[in-house]
Amino acid sequence: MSNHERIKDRLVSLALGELSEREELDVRSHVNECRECRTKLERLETVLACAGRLNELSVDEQTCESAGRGVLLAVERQTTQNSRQGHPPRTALIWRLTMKNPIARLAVAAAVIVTAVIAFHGLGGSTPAFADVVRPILAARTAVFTVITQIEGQPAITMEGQFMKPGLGRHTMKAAESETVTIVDYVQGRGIVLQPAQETAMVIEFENQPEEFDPGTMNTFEVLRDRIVEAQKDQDESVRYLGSSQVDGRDTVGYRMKVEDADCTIWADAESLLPLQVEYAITETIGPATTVTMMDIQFDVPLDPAEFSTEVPEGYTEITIQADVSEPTEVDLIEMLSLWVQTSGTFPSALTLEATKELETAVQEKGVTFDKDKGLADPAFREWLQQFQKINRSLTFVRNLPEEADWHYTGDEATFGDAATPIFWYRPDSATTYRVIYADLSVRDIAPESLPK
Amino acid sequence: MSDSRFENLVNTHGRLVLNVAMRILGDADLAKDVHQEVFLAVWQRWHSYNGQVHWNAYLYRVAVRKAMELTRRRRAAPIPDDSVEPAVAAAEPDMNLRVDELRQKLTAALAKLPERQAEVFVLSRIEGLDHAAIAEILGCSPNTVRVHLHRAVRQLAREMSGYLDESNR
Repeated sequence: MSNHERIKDRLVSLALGELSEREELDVRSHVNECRECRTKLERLETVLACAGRLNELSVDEQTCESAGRGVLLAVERQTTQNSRQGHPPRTALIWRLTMKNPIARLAVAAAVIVTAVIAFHGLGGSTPAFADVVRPILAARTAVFTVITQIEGQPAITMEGQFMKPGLGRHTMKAAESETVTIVDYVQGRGIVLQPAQETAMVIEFENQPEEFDPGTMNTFEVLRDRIVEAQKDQDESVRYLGSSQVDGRDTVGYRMKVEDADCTIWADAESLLPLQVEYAITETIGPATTVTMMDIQFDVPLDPAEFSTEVPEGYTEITIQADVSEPTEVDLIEMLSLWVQTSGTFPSALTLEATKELETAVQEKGVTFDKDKGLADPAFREWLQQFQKINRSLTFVRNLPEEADWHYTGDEATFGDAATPIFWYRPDSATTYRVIYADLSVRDIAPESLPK
Repeated sequence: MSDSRFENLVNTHGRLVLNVAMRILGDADLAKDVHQEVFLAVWQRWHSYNGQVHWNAYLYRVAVRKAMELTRRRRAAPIPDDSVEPAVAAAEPDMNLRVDELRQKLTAALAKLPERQAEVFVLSRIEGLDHAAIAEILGCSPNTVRVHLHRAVRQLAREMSGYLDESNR
């Protein structure tokens, strides 16, 4: 690293006053000579000076008193209203989910997260403003709700769940003969999957968690909230007022948004404007058409933090696996393709979650079956979970590629080992050449004009 | 009616919440909105709190988050020019840049930062808290605070570079 690069990295430390006298002299002597570093340092110092000055702002006594009175009045109004209407019934703090296999479960998780992609646009006129409808979502610290997911061609799946800031989530999934409880604590970087019937606990430890990782953003409910905040920045999305309707016997008002290839509808109580139901219709994005309905939504209900404990209950058999949560890369895709070819002898027909069924079939054809009684304790099942991690990471890598990456996949017709046949190519950010993966899983940088037509 | 402990909390900590919001939003009315939102949220959970709540830390965290949320929601709407205390702009007349304008640019840039980075920056550089205090408020390590702060400062300077360079000409 050159002296200039080294010093450049230390400018923030200098501006923040973190350097020793000797280090500061060293950095400053370079800054005096280097115009680029001097400009950068001036910017940093101006930003910090401005922030420091904001501390001088304060409210006066009158504002303080009137704000206090306002809160107490609002509380009184709310208390009176609650005693008149009665408190809303508490939803059971349990998720129920009928699941066929872990793939479906992950598909649902992905679908629920996609639900979060909501566009926002304030509406005028006499209709209830959309901003008022989504405000509880934006402000909530906890949430409980039920999710029903209908994946085309599969039985409907029902879940109940609870979320708590920062980054805590708990789902209970009930199949016909068993129950699975999933608890995730993103602050600790740890999750646990409990199967009470088998008394097994699978602990998932996150590996390679990025330094900038913010646990708060990993809670499904938080994601929903953050996407709304994000969508507020985008004034191009349209929101359509649907008028009033009855949902579960309650008068509601609805809004619908078109987001890429999906429709999102929010139904809110006509009087309080609290969101009661969020419906998300996803067309074929990562798999078959899916409808996700979040209902019985309640915000800021008191939740017991003990419900989110990721400790293994006494008497349970513990299994620990590591989950790589670093940003997926091209290497993940190559590893997945290699795994796929080794298992099934061919490349996947498409890079979609749906295509993983082909791999599952290939695994079963090799005589591998999952022992339902053993559940998580079944080594074959654990092996499959590890493999699925690879698949999920590689699909995430592909899904995250921007449109400009111009990626293509042609592996469905390729034969493994053919060093002349490209099966996947994409253009990395700012690159002038494409990265091309061939059917022997080698990778080369290729000019655009040399790509297959 | 609220109980006297809640009333006491509003009276003793209301100024902290208002000032945090005021410094981020630069507008007393908006600060009052945040103040109300914060304490109503506290009231809704009032009976679930045990006696162990560190109110100072808790309210700092909630106030910063609510104020930043409001900033993000308002990003599309221009902030009126008369919304800033003139005393601050006049505090050091030889400063090249108008502080009120800079504040607007700074809060707009803050709104673009990841939530945690923005919180750390506000608590550190605007509220003047040390890393240990911020770590306690946000439930992370002091080193994490430092990392977030570095990233925030670097990103803010980058985000505002066009404006700063223009103003310095």
